[in-house]
Amino acid sequence: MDVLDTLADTLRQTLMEAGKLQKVHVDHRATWQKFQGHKIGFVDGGVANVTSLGSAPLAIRVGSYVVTPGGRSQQRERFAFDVQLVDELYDSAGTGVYEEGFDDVMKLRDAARYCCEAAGALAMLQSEKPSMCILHGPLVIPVSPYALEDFPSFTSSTAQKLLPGGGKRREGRAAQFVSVYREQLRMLEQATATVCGVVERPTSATPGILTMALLEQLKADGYLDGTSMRTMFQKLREYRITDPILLECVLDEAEYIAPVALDKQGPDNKIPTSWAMDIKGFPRPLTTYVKPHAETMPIRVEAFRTGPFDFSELLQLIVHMSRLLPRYSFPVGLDIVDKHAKVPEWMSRQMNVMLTAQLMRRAMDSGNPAVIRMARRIVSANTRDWLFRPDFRRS
Amino acid sequence: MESLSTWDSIGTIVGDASTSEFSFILKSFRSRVGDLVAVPMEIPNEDYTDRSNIIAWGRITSIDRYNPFFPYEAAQELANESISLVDTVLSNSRDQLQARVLVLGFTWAEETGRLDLFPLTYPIPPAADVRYPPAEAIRELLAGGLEGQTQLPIGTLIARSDVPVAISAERVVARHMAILAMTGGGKAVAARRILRELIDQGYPLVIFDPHGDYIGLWEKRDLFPDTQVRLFYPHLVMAEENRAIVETLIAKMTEGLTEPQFEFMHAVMAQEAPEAGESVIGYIRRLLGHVERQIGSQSANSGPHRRPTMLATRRALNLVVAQLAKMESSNKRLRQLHPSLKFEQLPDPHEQPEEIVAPSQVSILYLGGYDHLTQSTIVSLLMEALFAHRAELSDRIAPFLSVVEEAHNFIPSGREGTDDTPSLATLRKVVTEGRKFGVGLMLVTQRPSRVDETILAQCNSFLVLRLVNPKDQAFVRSVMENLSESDARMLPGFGPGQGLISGQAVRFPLLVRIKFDKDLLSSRTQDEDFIRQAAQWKPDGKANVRKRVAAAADKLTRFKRGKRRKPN
Repeated sequence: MDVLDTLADTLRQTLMEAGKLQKVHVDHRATWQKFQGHKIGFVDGGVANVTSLGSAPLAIRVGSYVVTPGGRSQQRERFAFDVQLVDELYDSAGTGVYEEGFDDVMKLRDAARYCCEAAGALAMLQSEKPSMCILHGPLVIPVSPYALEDFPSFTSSTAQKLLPGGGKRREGRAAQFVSVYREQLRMLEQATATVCGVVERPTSATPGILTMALLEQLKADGYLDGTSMRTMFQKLREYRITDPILLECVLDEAEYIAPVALDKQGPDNKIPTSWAMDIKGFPRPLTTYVKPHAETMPIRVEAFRTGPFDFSELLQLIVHMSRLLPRYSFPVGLDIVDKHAKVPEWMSRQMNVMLTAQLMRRAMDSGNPAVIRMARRIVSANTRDWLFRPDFRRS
Repeated sequence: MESLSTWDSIGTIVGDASTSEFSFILKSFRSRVGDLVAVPMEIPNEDYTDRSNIIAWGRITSIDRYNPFFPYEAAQELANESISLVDTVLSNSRDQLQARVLVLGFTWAEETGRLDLFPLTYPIPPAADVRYPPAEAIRELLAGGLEGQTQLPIGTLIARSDVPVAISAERVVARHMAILAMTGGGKAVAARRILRELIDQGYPLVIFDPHGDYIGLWEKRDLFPDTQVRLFYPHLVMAEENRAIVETLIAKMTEGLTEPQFEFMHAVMAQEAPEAGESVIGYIRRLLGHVERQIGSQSANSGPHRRPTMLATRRALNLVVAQLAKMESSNKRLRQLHPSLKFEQLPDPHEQPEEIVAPSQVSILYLGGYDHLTQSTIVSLLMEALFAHRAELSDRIAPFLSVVEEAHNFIPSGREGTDDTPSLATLRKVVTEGRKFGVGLMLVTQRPSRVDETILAQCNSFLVLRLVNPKDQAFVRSVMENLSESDARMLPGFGPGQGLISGQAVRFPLLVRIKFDKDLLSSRTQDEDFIRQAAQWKPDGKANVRKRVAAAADKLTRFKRGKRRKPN
């Protein structure tokens, strides 16, 4: 606690000296007046909880919610699903996804989800042309974990869906996650709208990435020397002090750190050589933490430079939206789109039933008792089920 | 009737559906509580070899609306900051409407004309389409229940003004009806609506009117050229069979008699038998004269009854006479307030019942000025006599419907501690046996919970308008078997003239808006404008005299009598 206290106190004082600690003036009336008439879009993805096969993502949809504060007409709000994929997203030909190929199902699912959300944002920007587009989650993710030799490419049709208006047909490396995602980010970065991502309750175990970048900047600006910076780095790592924990102690209500252009892709030594050129070209979003409410943890905001609103205006909106959800302190528009996009349990259940029926039918069609037995086992997910009782097998 | 396929689809059934109820998600602004909805479906035929297409009918009993995208805590922030939802990024366009439906029965899909309604014995299919039937289809459905019966149009469905609602005249006049509503709920409007239709049918009506609510029928009698509307004031008449009335009046209007005093009373009554058609007050005066003579006679001290007993009995009889006279004069004064109204003395129901009950006649008995007990006695005497005529099957009078306003005063619940209210037993007899003899009751009350439960439960039809008192709501639920919980919850929310009609007079419970007969409104039944009256009030002509005399009296009190001087 002493280390945390000292670090937080020192950082706060230094940030104040450097003019990097900023505060949003809380005033709902003035804020909403300012954003009146501006279309604001929110994007979030939902993944169906398809458990019976335990396989790669089969059903993902991305919902969007676009709203114009101050609007009085029927067109004030629009809810949509901009991307809906119920398919095998990855190309299973050749290496094959489900057979001898890539078996980290979680990675496949996450990669697909990130791409789908970015695709949803692109689709929404094209169709609705909002002034601001806010994604639920990081704007840019570290892609090295997915830049693996055996990581399957998207099917070309999926790649096409993921890049609305993206032009040429993509196959092989061009349809691989890193390529597709990079292209999506390039398109988002060039959008005329302010594009940002908001992460609530960041769970990263990596010690203070943003803090380290901040300290480096402070050092470059002459607010601390190299020894002090290294000591602080060391303590952050030694005590595994993450950004949210440290900044929770640094920030007061409605305060935020002046944004830092953050390289999310990590150190060079962790980037696979074959993808190094691509990954190094990934955009560096302006990143900060803001604490909308005194009693809640700070949230992370990542944004690209372009767009009609500057960073302080974006933070002003984020804080006021979050204050409409005081206990959770998270932009209420993202809470709305989260509920909208979430694949409900009944839908997942129906999908499970449908897949189970198909599996059983194919197994029966094969006529192979071993396949049928396996299918039963998958379906029941419980070997103590009546299907596996000796009496039943005998009959 | 339009083809079923053209009926608008307004929602989809969700959750578990049964043969008695279901829920559906409703399209925004496409239906309301009280609406009748239809679900096309299949049921197995009788021998289970095939399926038949039917239409299941239901009534929307409640609609829940919620906004799944509006966080609860945001409301507090909006309130604290005095900002409007639409000025923020909050959503208000995705309300979900979940309607609950009570299944009424089914009709065959191919049937047209007056539709026969059968109980549904196969469950409503989940996820089925819910349709909004056109007015014509509902009219056919409602008409099917009243086939071959005289229809009394009373209004329209609350949710659909294009669908008229009628009730069965036969069921109302023979099987009794209750109209329950709080003050201002529209019970007089509803009663007048039904009575007007019965007047058009020429059905004999006897109305007990404690407050003059029905005098408008007499004032507007020109609207009923074929009907004689008569306005009566009470005239209590003695008959051999109602001698007990004297004891009842003594018991209620005085502190009662002791056993010796009763014995003395019986002895006097044995010697002074009532004469045919003699008024009650006249008879009691005659008894009083007899008692006076006894007291004055020399045998007063030597006879079987002691003098104090006679004096106490005389005091009781005097009290009864004084109170009856006071009420008669009060009733008379009330009548004189409206000299334009032509009141007649109530004929002797034993001797001249046809003067009270006759086809195409409405007899209104104005009970204003009398206390509840006397009103109850009057109703009891009259109904006993009229019922006896019908029960004798002598055909001396036609079948008739009697309307009992303020029914809680005439058939009070046992909880009120008024078991010996004279009209209670009489009306209990009428409600249980009246159906056999063509004596119907229409009970009207604003305090249902104060009415005798057994009698009210005997009513086969109910029109329940606005009821706010929780006791009344609970009581109505206990009495009306087919009143659902959601229906009961609606009772306090009804507007004037809106209500629920249920029972044998209709095919199934319906939410109705009673037609308001403005032309029947009496000028006297309007709310008094006391504010204006108070502003315009001036002291009466004698006020100055009273003031002068009071001043003089005050002055007089200050005079002290001095010591009398001794004469020189």
